[in-house]
Amino acid sequence: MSTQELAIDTTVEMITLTIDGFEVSVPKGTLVIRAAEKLGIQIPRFCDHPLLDPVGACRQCLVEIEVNGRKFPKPQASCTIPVEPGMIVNTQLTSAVADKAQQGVMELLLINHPLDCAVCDKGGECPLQNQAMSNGGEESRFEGTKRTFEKPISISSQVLLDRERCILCARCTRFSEEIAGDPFITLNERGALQQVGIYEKEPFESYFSGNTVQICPVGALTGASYRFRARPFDLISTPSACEHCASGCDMRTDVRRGKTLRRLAGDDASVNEEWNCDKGRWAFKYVNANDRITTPLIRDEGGRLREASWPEALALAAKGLKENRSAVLVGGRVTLEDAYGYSKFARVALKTNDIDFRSRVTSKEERNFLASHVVGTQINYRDLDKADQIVLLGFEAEEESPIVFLRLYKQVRKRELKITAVAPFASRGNKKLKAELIATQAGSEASAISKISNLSNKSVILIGERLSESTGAISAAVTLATSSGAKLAWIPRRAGERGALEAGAIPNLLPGARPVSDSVARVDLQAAWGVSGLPSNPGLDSDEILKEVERGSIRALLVGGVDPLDISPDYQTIMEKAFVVSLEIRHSAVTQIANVVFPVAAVVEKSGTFINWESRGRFFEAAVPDSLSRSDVRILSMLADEMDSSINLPTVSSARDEFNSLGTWHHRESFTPVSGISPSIASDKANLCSWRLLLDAGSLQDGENNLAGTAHPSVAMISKNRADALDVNDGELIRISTSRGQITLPCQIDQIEDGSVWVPRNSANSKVIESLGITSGEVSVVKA
Amino acid sequence: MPLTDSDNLVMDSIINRYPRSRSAIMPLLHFAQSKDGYVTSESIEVIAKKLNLESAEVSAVATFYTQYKRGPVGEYHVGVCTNTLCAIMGGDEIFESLKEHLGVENNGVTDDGRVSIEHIECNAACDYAPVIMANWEFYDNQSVESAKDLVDSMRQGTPPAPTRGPDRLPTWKENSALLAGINDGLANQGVQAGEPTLLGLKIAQSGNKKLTPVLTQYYDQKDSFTLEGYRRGGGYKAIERALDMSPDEVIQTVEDSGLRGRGGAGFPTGMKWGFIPQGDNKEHYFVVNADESEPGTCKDTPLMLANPHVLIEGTIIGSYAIRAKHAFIYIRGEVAHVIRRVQQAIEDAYKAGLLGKNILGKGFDLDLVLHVGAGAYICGEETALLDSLEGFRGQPRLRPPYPAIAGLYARPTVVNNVESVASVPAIINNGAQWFASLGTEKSKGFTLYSLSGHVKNPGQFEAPLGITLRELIDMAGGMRDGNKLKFWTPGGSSTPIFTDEHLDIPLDYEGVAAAGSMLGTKALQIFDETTSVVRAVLRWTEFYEHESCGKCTPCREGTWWLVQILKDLDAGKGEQADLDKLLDLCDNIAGRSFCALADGAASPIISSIQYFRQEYLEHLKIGGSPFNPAASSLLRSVGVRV
Ligand SMILES: Cc1cc2nc3c(=O)[nH]c(=O)nc-3n(C[C@H](O)[C@H](O)[C@H](O)COP(=O)(O)O)c2cc1C
Ligand code: SF4
Ligand code: SF4
Ligand code: SF4
Ligand code: FES
Ligand code: FES
Repeated sequence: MSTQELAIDTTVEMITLTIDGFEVSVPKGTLVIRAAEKLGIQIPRFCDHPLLDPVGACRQCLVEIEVNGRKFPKPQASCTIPVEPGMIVNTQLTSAVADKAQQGVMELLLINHPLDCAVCDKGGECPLQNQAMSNGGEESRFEGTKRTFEKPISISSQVLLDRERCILCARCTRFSEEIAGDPFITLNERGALQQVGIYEKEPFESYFSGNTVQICPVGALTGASYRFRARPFDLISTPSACEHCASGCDMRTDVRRGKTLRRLAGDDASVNEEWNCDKGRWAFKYVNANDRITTPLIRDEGGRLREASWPEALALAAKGLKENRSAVLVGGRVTLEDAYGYSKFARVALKTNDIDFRSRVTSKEERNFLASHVVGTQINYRDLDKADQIVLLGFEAEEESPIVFLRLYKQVRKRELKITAVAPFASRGNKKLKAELIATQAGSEASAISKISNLSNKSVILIGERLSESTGAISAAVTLATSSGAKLAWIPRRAGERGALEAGAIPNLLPGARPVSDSVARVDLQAAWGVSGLPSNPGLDSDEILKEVERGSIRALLVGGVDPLDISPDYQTIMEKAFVVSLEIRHSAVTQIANVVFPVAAVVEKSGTFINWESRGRFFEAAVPDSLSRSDVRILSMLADEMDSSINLPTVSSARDEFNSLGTWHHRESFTPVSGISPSIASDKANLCSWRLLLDAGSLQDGENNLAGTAHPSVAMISKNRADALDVNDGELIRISTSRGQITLPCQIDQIEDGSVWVPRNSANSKVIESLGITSGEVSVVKA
Repeated sequence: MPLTDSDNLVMDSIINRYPRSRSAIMPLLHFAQSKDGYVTSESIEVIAKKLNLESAEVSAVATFYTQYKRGPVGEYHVGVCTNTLCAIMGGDEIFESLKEHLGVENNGVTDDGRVSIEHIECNAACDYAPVIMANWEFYDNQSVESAKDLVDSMRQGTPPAPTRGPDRLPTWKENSALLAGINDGLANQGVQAGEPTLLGLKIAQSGNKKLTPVLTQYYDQKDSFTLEGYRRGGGYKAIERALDMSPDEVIQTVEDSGLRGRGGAGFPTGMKWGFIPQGDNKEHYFVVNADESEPGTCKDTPLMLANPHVLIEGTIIGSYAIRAKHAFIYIRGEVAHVIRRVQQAIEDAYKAGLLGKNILGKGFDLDLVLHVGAGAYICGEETALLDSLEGFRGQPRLRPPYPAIAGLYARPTVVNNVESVASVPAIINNGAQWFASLGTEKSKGFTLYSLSGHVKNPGQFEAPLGITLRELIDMAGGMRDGNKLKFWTPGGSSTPIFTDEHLDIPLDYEGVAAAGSMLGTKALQIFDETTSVVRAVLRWTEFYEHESCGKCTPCREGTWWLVQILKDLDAGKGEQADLDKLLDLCDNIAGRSFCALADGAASPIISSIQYFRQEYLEHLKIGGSPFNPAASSLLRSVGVRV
């Protein structure tokens, strides 16, 4: 257990020892180096990392230790020795032996170091540089020849390795093996020639590779995108939260002159510990893309968007929304405050419950589940840590919520936590988790889930947003949880979905878990908002909204941060029929058809809160100061004013305060289970299954080619039997088609369920919704 | 490596030897070399796939060990020992002349692809110095001429048979298969022992009462290495006795005997066995450390060549005592014929019902696997050995947990040296009292002393602990040419050197420690007055630099620096202050590093400066070495040895 974990567990015994003459009490199992930290005594170190297994390799942290009156004959590595009662420790501050040992090690570390701090990315924030100043000797006595290596080599498109600077602390290799389960970088050779490296033909393509750059204590590992871009003292750092997924990583954003130059994983022991994924770390260039919208735009007679003043645009938008039956589509990327703005705007200004944050395949079963079992509940990473068993349903942890994956992997490695996955095949991530696979065709999840047994009240069932694609599957999961006492958690992919749910940006819920169908709850909210009435019929789901637009009964749409393709392949012809008001940061499929476009702030430019899957609020301030862009809620508030139905949310903080003051409603919708229907697929066809890969064609990854270079190649996975039937070999092209279109990809023959074919949902050459019009179901597969 | 069906079967059978598949990585790499001659990237990928590993993990392992080659080597790969003792006795001259003769550099291959050469570290044959290994077969007592003849004949495809090896020199690929554990059936060919191995026994047989041949008692029987030969001398009687005792009784007997580990540290063997938790419902493992690579150490290797069954018998008894059902012998990879003999002995023991299920009908099951190393001294360190055996890079592990609690596969494990294990059958047969009555008060029993270097007749001497070097040199016929003894190692290069002042200290654990060194492996490397101590120490330091595993800073960087300073000093460059710098550096390395390898690296430097500071200064004064390497070489007198 890490010290942090030990500290949380209050049953742990405390041990008292003396360090440099001061007594300190720490939990049993604490390492000496961290007990010293508690006293403010900093023992220099390189290989030590609180989240990695101790190795004692660099020997920088040597101290003198005495136990029971017996002194160890040699100085000991304080990063490897757990405290003992009555232990007496003398660090460099009080022991000449320890001080000399440390200086000796520092001198040895530097003999082969190039000392090119002036041109090194790490310069100014380098543990080696800093500790050489504080704990090193004056001058090196080394007069010999330094070891040389070819200067930086690319170990992936996003990470460079300078072996001359490497001090072989093995943090990077230990991280890759112990934390990420991706031993793609290893120590190679031995002795003075030992070096970090990849296997020559296989780059360091781990979703978590950026963490090694962050924890490398020297400038040996650098990010290709940040290299030579800045010096640490030029940067303004702001704590922030990641906008890319519902894991909820704490982050730090470093900005220079209004531009984000890098993002680092923040330190939050209860969420991401000190890690993040490469998407969160490196996908931020979309903010500075040259298609950013900077002023309001309106469509002129000729059908072209032109710049407009705020009053002009607001007036036009207000008119269009007021005069027509309107609905709201708000994507899963909004902050809690913005979602609340949309939610209130829909109810107060548009007087409708036709609002949905789910821009994806949805179902009534899902919204019933969200309103009955998810909204207002809490479950957290600690529950995963303590679980006796985890079940993954419609959820690929490594692809869809990477930090959840790391947490599971940690427990698998530490105590062989049992994991069961209902999926069409064992993905790489699930293999790393040693998950037991219940091989299941898309659509047949309900019957697979109903066969799971042996769960207890310490088990956790993790439901991905994709489970809604399979009728009856969520109901089966709820039944399983009820019968076993296991906990249920819903893990959406996008960072804003859970917040939007809490904010009531969904047809059957008002803010604060208030069911639309609950008249008492409605009255309560009415009073809080000071309005005379609220629409009382549950609204339409996102796909139904588009259907009504197509039929012409809904004639205006307010759209914020949505990729409409996620909802319907035919969105364009449909939406062209409506008056569309779009709030966007960049030009998009929606702005192309919108009548009015308002520019909004990107995450780094505004403050706000994301609610992660645990229901934990991740508040952040603007990292780019003085941005002129406004958060959605401010624009919605202006728009409501213009419509004479004020929502009174002039600032982000007013939205947050108002939402918090509403509290959580005590009464939930009841859940009505739906039975499963197994899909019937013609015998000469295949059942399509797909999910999004972490790194894919998602629009928030635009502009970062180094990151894209490490995305997994697009392949179509089929079973050996199907390959034989099609007469294809591994790597040969196959074509997957529906009446709508086709996708052609190299095949990968794997142990996938025979009836299925899997393709990535939104990757290069594999845009499933656009090309096939479905995310699962019957497709033809032929040799291309 | 395009795989045939039968290759696949072989690879699967290799994997099946081990409780966990990753352990098969080393034999699979040897096997890959038997196909392609070296480790190709294709074979790395094949192995990764078979073992469910990333290719990076396999290449990380492959690049750790020197026996795995990155490019083609000759059909005959010639290794010239240039570790200190062989180098001084003529190895350096041999290596230089071979390079010139073949027109290739270190690691070079002749154009016809027939011969490649490499300088190698001590190959556990110091009493046969200077030594050449060809495809890891012994060519003992070489000279410049014999070495040239050897490579010439190789180029013609007609190399002579090894000195101690099969009747015909196998090719590189053939022997790589052997190293992968594939028996070539040649174990019964060749001598059981060479003359130096038999020296002590012959002296004892001629009536010398100071020597007590037990392990070496039947070394002179031509079939001493066979099951029949071993049985004829009373072999495999001890296991019958042991299996009739309770495991705890066996442990008690070994404890009572006072047997201490012969691998260097001298830890009481019975006590070590007693540390294994009992009734814990976990697998236990018994691992024999047959890595013998400490410079100067050459006792286990001839023992396994001449008497492998005693090791197997000891392993069975030890495994029974600690309740292990699985045992391993981790043997260094550079001794092909020894590997053959041990492999054959294991197979014969299985056939005779001495291994496998229900041994001798007494209900005890044991599987014994020979695991062949691949060139890494550090793998003799017991925790590095375990990592290596698990299929990782052979780097030492953090302790605690100690192997007795979490060793192989994190299960309770005993690691014992070959000689320690081989000593057990005699203890069971003759009783703890008998063993304890030999030797000195705290260092009980008999042991193998290996004398090498500038004595008239180097060789093995089995004697009670406590004998002196003076007595041993006397038995070895005195110093060569009547020269004066200058310095010597009591137990390998990692033990501080001694001088002629120390001729009469008792060679037991306490006696040697009291005089400021360690008994170590009882590898007595003797150097006479013609030898430059600076040269000797430089070469040893180069050895440690080469063998440093790289894990920790002081050893990895420190040995790199030490070599540079010593090279300068040997060349007479530098100043007096460099000696103090050297000592200060040693102070920053020894006791500051992760494992004892670095302590060993500092030992020869510190002790040589202690005894021979003047000689270092002399180098600086005259700007070079005052010694003539030819004078310390044996080559000028080759052939006149008795
Ligand atoms: C660098 C190094 C190399 C070693 N090499 C060997 C070796 O080759 N054989 C051996 O038996 N012990 C070797 N040892 C000692 C082992 O770590 C271990 O102490 C020994 O195998 C225990 O066996 P014993 O108790 O029977 O002596 C080495 C130790 C170190 C530090
Ligand atoms: S690259 Fe950095 S983290 Fe990795 S071993 Fe080298 S110094 Fe340590
Ligand atoms: S895991 Fe999710 S929240 Fe964390 S950095 Fe990656 S995308 Fe962002
Ligand atoms: S002292 Fe350190 S570098 Fe040297 S062999 Fe031991 S662990 Fe490896
Ligand atoms: S920090 Fe303790 S050994 Fe590296
Ligand atoms: S065999 Fe050459 S030094 Fe030992």
